[in-house]
Amino acid sequence: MKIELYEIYKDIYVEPTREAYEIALKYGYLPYMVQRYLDMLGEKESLELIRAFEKPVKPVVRTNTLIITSFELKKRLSELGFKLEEIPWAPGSFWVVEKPESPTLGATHEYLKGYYYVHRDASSLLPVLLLLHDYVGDVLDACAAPGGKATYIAQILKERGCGVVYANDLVLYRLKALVGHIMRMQLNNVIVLWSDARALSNRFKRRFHRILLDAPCSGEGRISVDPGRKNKTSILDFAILVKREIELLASLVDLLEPSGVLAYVTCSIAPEENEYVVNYVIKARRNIEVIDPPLKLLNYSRGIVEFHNLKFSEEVERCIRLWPHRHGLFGYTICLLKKRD
Amino acid sequence: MPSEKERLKLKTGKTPLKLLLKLKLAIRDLYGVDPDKYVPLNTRLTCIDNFCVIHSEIPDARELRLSNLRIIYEGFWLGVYVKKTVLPSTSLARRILREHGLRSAILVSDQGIKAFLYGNNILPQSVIKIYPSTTGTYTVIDSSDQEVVGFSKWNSRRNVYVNIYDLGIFLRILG
Repeated sequence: MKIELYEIYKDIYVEPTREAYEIALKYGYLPYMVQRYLDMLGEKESLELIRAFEKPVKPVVRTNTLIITSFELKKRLSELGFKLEEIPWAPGSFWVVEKPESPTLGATHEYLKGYYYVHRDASSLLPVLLLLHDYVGDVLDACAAPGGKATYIAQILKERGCGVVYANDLVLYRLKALVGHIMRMQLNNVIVLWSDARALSNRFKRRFHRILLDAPCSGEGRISVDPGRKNKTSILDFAILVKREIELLASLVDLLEPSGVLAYVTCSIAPEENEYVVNYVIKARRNIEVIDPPLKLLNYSRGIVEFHNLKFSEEVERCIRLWPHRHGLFGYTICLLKKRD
Repeated sequence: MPSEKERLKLKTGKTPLKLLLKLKLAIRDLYGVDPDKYVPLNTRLTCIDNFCVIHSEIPDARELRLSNLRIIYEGFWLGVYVKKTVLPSTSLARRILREHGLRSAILVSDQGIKAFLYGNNILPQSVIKIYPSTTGTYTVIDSSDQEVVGFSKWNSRRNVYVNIYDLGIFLRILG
């Protein structure tokens, strides 16, 4: 599939209005970013979004239920001064609502013993729960490092008694952390691969019933923990990211078995990185459809069908969106794509 | 600025026979159990910089290797090769000791464990109980929950249990 960067750039280019400039100036954003918020949400909700980005998010502790119960973990961390609150839709996971000055979550003895994984935010639990709903078998996690989702998948598959996680990433120093987490959490059903995910479809002889693609993205949904992202990505950089996201998705759908499901995930609220990418690929590959999430774990927002000058297939409305100002989580988008039989 | 590949030295492959035999010998000497029950025939070695781990092979991975896919880790963590010493992994030690009871081990107080997990040695006064070792190498056990947290070697000249490796490697080496 030939993808022209210039075409993408033309499609996603926006000319900021005076209003966008004023808001951007006040909050330290690039004007084109704010213009997109105004186009998607209107002025009132855009300001709510920007203010939500200023608020801290609650980190999450996910119990490694293969070696400790969530009850016991909560007790032990409470004794150290952490106050945990159960996440109703993610059994065994807790929001950390209060923490002591010392130790940090990543340095307790319990952490080193592999009793839990620390997620920056609860949003990353969601794609795993949706993708693995009613499923047992092998899973490919195409951009897996540092390993929050891969270790979660491995843990769930192990509990269900069968399945290997193929955890791939291109960045070696991030894979090193993933290997550390696998060893620390005593997981034995993970194969760690070092490859460009775009090359996997040519290398693998087998196909998968489940694939997770957490694509490297602008991270526009994580501004609350990385404020530098307010002004880091120019529109051209953005177009380059979108091009890579299309290439990744287009190549990985080739690795799906018929009726297999791929979760396309980004920690971004940008329609250009989500609905635009999915729309591009479903149009190019006619054997793929967007499906509804199998579970309603949260009151998700739906995918965006029209944005700026772009109109996408109605199917992309089935994607789900998490908004910082609506859900109190990172901005996050998940689209489940199914290969037709 | 050096590239990422230059900064991180990665080596993967089949575990050399010499290291595999050293691992089996360490298991036998430490715990008096049949190492073949715990160490499968096919194992792999992954070295990241100077830290090497021995792990089991997952059969599905063989086909991937034939396709020239670079596999950097797979299966169960069996052992480490650090400071020119081969020892079982904490996960494997945990498995063996759960089946056979504590041996070649020291039960260490909370304060001693805290220092040990920062890479420090263990002072004799932090040791609550000693389970004899014929080799001088001891599995270090956290007395609060009986979990394996690393390995040490008794040094009579310095009068300390010298840290060989501990679970703090996950922060200090593997990030």
